[in-house]
Amino acid sequence: MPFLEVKNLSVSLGSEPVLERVSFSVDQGETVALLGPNGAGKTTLLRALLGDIPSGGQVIWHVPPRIGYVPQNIDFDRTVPLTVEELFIIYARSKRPFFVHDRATENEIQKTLALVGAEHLLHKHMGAMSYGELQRVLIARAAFDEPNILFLDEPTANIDPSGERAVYPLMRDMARTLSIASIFISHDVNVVYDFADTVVCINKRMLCAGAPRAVLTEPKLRELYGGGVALYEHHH
Amino acid sequence: MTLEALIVGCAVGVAASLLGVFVILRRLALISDVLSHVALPGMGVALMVGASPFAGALAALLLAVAGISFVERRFSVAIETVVGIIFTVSLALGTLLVPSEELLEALFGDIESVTRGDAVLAVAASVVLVGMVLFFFKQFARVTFSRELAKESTMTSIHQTEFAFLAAIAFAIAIGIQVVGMLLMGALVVLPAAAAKNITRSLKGMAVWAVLFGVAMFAAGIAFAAVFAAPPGAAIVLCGGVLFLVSLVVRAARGR
Repeated sequence: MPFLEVKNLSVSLGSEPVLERVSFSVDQGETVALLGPNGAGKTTLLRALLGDIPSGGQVIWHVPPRIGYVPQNIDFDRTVPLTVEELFIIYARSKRPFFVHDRATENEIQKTLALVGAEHLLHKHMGAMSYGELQRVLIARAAFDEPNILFLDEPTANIDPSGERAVYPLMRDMARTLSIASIFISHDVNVVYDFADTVVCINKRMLCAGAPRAVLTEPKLRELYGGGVALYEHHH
Repeated sequence: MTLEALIVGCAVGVAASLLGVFVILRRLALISDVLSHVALPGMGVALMVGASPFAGALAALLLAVAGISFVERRFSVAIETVVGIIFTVSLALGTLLVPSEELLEALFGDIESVTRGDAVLAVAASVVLVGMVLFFFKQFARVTFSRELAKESTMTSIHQTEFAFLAAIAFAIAIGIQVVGMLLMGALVVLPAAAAKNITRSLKGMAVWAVLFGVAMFAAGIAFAAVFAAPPGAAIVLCGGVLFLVSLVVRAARGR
């Protein structure tokens, strides 16, 4: 049985349909990429899955979701006094309502930061962080407190290209270490080839779904992006 | 200064400065002043029917807060806009309903004249307020730092958190109106937290320092008032101002 099933998901803004009848499923431990050009509705789809915007169709979670979410960019006041450790604590999913700050929690956070090589940032002030550091911290934060699925909305949108190539292996290794599912958004075909088990191509409606090498054919990519797309084969 | 007044001041100082942490971080320093005018029509109606002005003020505030939350959610109007509208309308309504002496007392209060009944009410209300802020601490912090990240949580919705936050502010204002006066209450919410923000880089640090500063500001003000025979309310606010200046100096000295 799949972990998550999406059936005929549709979203409209006013009377304008922005996403029509998208269906796919995600298994435990599977990495799914949402691929499509800018404005294709990828972020809208993720938001609908988060329950942040109203949608038609069905979103069926076969296991209660504990979502770890990495947004495309977070806008925050850099003057707010908050350390990396506190960021983890306040957004932790655990039922404890209070702001608990003990040694065991600190060790857990340290361990999660180590997954992305950021353990040295534990006590750093959030406002003093570079974009690269912030991205690592946000990815680790999403993995904290036992999520069972990760949502990553173009996790490399704000970092330089060299950092970009580093983020995806981090993300994949982390999902493997924790053996959890993940859904990531990308408009980069090569990233999808290298890091996704399954790709769902979207441009307002669903154009393909399946293993990247099987479904991302040149005609399909042309349909997805319009003309002028060249495909570079990767050999491993 | 009576013992009652001292106890009330400490309790209100702790509660107000703890709430102030989020008021300052969300850049809503003036919200309590704005919302306080909402209490006026409630007090007016309470005085007309012979009920407690505290109850009237609290009822009007909670009604306004529910209205703000509803309009914000239903029509996605910015919270500042809704607050602005309710503020002006209720100020107009309040001046029609409340006699001017009562209005002055609500604004300036008089901590020296608190009765035992007021003291019990204020301490109990402060304990409830501290409890509210601690209970919602994580949620308040989430919405303050990043709403985007708060979206993944299915625990408490952003709207519920906003409502709890406004309700906590409403509660603080009601305590302020009844006992210490709106102006002092506003100062107790804003000044200790603003000073604390200058000297710390962690949220926990800011909360702890804000509470310490809240009590220190109150104690220093009372001492100043006793020595120079000054009105305590004004002395407390001035001490808070000095505390804030000192915190700025400390921040500058640390090169931030």
